[in-house]
Amino acid sequence: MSREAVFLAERAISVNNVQMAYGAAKVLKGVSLAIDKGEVLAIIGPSGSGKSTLLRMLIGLSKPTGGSIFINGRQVDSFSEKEWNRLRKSMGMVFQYSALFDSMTVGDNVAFGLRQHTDKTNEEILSIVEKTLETIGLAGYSGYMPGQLSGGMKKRVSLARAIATTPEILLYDEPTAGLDPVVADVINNLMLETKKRMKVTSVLVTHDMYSAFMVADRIAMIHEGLIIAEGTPAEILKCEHEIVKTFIHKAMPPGGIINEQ
Amino acid sequence: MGKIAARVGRWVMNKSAGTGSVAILFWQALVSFPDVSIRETIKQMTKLGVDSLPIVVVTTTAAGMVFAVQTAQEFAKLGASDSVGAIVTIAMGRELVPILSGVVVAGRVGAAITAEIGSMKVTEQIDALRVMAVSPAVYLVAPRILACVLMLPVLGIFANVVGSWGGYFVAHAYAGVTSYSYLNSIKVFCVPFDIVGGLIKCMFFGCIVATVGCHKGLNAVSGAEGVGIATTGSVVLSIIMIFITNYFLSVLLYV
Repeated sequence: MSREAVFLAERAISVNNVQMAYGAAKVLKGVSLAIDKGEVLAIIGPSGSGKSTLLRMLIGLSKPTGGSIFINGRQVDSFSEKEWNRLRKSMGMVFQYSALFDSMTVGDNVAFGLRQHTDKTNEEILSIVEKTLETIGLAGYSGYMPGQLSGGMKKRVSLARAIATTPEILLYDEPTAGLDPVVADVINNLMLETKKRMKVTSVLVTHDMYSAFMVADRIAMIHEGLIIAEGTPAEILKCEHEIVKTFIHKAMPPGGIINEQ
Repeated sequence: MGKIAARVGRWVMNKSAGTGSVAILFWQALVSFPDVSIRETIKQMTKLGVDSLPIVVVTTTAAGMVFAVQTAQEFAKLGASDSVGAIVTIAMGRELVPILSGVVVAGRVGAAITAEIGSMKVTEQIDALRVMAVSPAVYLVAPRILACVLMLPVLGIFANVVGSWGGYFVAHAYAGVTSYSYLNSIKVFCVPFDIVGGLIKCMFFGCIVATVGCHKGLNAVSGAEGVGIATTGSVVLSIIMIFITNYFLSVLLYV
């Protein structure tokens, strides 16, 4: 293993020259990234640039056609589903369209992971569910069905479901997509709170610049399957790469925002 | 000529791959039976089995009555009206009940399974299950297969009873067959395996409906249209497989 590969293997997540192709179409052409423990990395880029594909690879929903992925020092790209399942117990994911189990109540959705993988009593689980729902501002919604909730509420429940099992790694797939600015801001604040409270390593895939600059410690921009820029929000803002400049300035709200924490 | 051969080859390859993936899914569910949730299985038994009872009862009663209409008068002409009960019961028990129950359940339950799991697939709920380290084969497929395998024979028992009764009423009305003659012919000519063999077939058909239903749902693509296509495909494939399997089971069990 090269020195670089050893270095990557020591990070919380490291992605080394990962490629992905669907037939002749190359979605990822050799992406390398490293994320430290407790860090929030935002992957930004236009639609179809391969960022969601990359995120799905980090939790074993897609398999790369080349390169290697390390999570907590273990190479995971050749994991079997059984090995992934062991690792996934310490991971959580917030889906773009929430992906709540629509045949279950909000409470059962949040309790699902705890019921499946812990020996906690029903009382303990219900108490965790109530506390988690309180954290996301949905106390008392435990008995509601997902169909009775608004888009923003569903996203919050999706976040609650992901954090109920106190994961070490959290993945967000377009968490603010399709939400109005006020509700999107609620989600952004929840992500910030989660980052501060749980110190969880997070990867945020988004094309919402406001969200990326508000929540992330570092930002990587992906374009046509390659990382074209990487750095702190301030460094990305100063980046001279034409595509990055165009993308950020077109997507940025007037005045912009930088995470100053 | 080469193009046609290539097209045929591709079709055969696709169908073989499809059959292989159904078999793999069934195997994954089979090995996960020890981990299956009893609560979820009972829920599915109610949903897929008990709720199918009315439609199975109606169709098999009608089938028993129609079969008696066609046989009773003809048998009466031949002076063999004493055997109508046995004929109806054997036909119902060996073939009509398992086939009709299988087809009706494929239409009702198979379609429902595919639509439900297909909707879960296109709304990323299946991915959510996997992300939460829960195997869809254990959580979704195994309980449905178990429920169908256990409940279809139960439906078959009800279907045999009502089908035979339907046959009796019609045989009595059209050919004057008495209850004694009807029941006596069943007692003389029928053996328990006429019913048991049919119930064994029901178990196989339940397995086909659930496995195909789950497989089609898990492989649904492209939103609502994809779910619709998967649901239609599930019913069609289940019915085809039921008829083909029925031939081999009939040979195996009754020849």
